[in-house]
Amino acid sequence: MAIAHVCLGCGFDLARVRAFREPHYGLPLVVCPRCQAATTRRRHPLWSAFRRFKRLDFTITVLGLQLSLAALLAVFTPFGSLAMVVGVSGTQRNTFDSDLWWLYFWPLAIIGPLTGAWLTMGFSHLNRGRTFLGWYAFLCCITFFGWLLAAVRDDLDSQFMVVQLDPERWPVLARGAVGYVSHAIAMGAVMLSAVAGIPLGWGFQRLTGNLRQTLWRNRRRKRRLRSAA
Amino acid sequence: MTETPSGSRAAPATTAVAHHRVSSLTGDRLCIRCAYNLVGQPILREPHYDMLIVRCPECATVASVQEYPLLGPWAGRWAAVAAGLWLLFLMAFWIGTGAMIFGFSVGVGEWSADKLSQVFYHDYAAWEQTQRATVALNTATRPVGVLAAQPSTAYQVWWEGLDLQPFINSKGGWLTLIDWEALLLWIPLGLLSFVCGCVWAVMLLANKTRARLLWGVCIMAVAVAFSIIPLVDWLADGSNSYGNISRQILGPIFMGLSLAFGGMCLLIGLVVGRTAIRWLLVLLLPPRLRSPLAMFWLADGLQPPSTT
Repeated sequence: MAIAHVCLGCGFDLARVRAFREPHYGLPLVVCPRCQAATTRRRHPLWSAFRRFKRLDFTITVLGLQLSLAALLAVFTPFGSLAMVVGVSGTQRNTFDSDLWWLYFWPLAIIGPLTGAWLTMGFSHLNRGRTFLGWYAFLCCITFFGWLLAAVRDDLDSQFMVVQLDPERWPVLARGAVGYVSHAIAMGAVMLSAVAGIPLGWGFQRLTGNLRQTLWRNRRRKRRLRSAA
Repeated sequence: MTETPSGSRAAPATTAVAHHRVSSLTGDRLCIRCAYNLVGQPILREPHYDMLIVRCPECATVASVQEYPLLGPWAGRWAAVAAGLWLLFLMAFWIGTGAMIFGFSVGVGEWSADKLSQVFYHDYAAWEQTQRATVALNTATRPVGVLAAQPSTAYQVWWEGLDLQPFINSKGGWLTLIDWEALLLWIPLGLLSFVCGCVWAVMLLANKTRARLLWGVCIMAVAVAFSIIPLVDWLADGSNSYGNISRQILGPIFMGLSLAFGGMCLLIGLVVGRTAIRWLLVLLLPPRLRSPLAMFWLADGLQPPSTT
């Protein structure tokens, strides 16, 4: 049942009188059928507080989801591309079974499109090209930090298996630099494969938009039916 | 109200005035005292102030219908409980932040002394072998029935006979005897302190920069207070093991440096935390979702974010 809304002019309960948007200020106006006094319909403070809480809750959920996905992809993309480099260099030197070479490219098939879909859907308010470049730069930064740490600790070989080119001929830092560059190139390949995720992101965006509109329409219809009953 | 000659109070004359019924409630409205739903009750025009009222049929409480109904006493009670819980959380987080900085600092202090500890251990082991060889020689060459004077292998004796500065110089100087890998702990220390500073900057939303910095000093006071425990432990009796000696020498310095570093990162977080959070929100959230978090802008006197 609607919440009571008493006309301050004559005391008539306007709860069942439907409000309309007045053209000047866009306020929901109710005109008393008895005394013709016009009042605006306000939401009950409890209901307003609940709606504010729901909006805040939704915002924080989206923020949490964005941060979780960012953390997840910031871990999986560097490690996936590192695995790709290790696999390729191992196959070249016949360390690993070359029959399964295509398995090393799983980041291109999974992480890349997932990243593309996320960057398209989650950052639709930003320039897409800059978003992709920014994410790649961020990945390069955190990977560089990892390599730098490994170089400082002087245990590149044990920390990262990439440095298998020719350990005898390369000093530690140079090996680290070569390893880092190959890692960055592999991440660049993953980012290129992320382009395949853009249509996926568009699709999700459209789907959620339609869902939101449908839910809003249904709520509005229900409210209208309730007030008419 | 009037006083009768007999002293008893007479009922006010106004009670006799009848309320004028103007309408009846068709929507929901709960009684402010007993929460009874007043739907269907008559709306009355009361004669004293010409106000519109509804009287609860259960408890006869009069509610003015000009305002929204109140929540009753429980709203205030729950608000007090929530405020108390929030205060408890803030206190726990205050202690926790200080304890985190202390924990990393004591870790750096102990780790930095590991190399020196190993050097002491190897030197003591060599000295002990020499002493044991002397004991064995004395035992083998002593005449029968005579007790030979035996050199001690006790750790204390070795330490008292050690001239520290020449010993350190002979091992390559202080810089080579410090385990610099301990400083790797500064990475998580700095990051976590900065993040805690940002979180505090958000939680202390009503405070300006100076007050937040003062709060940072309070957090560091907790960390320093905790640090007294290992300091007392290290400095109380440092000569009973090579680990304790090395920690006694290097521990306080590196713990102090780590405390200073953690404190600096915390203060940076407290100062730039809100800006960082605002930047993160603009980056991660589309405009229509930013308005519920407008308080982060309004708290610093900035324009709230646009919703378009």
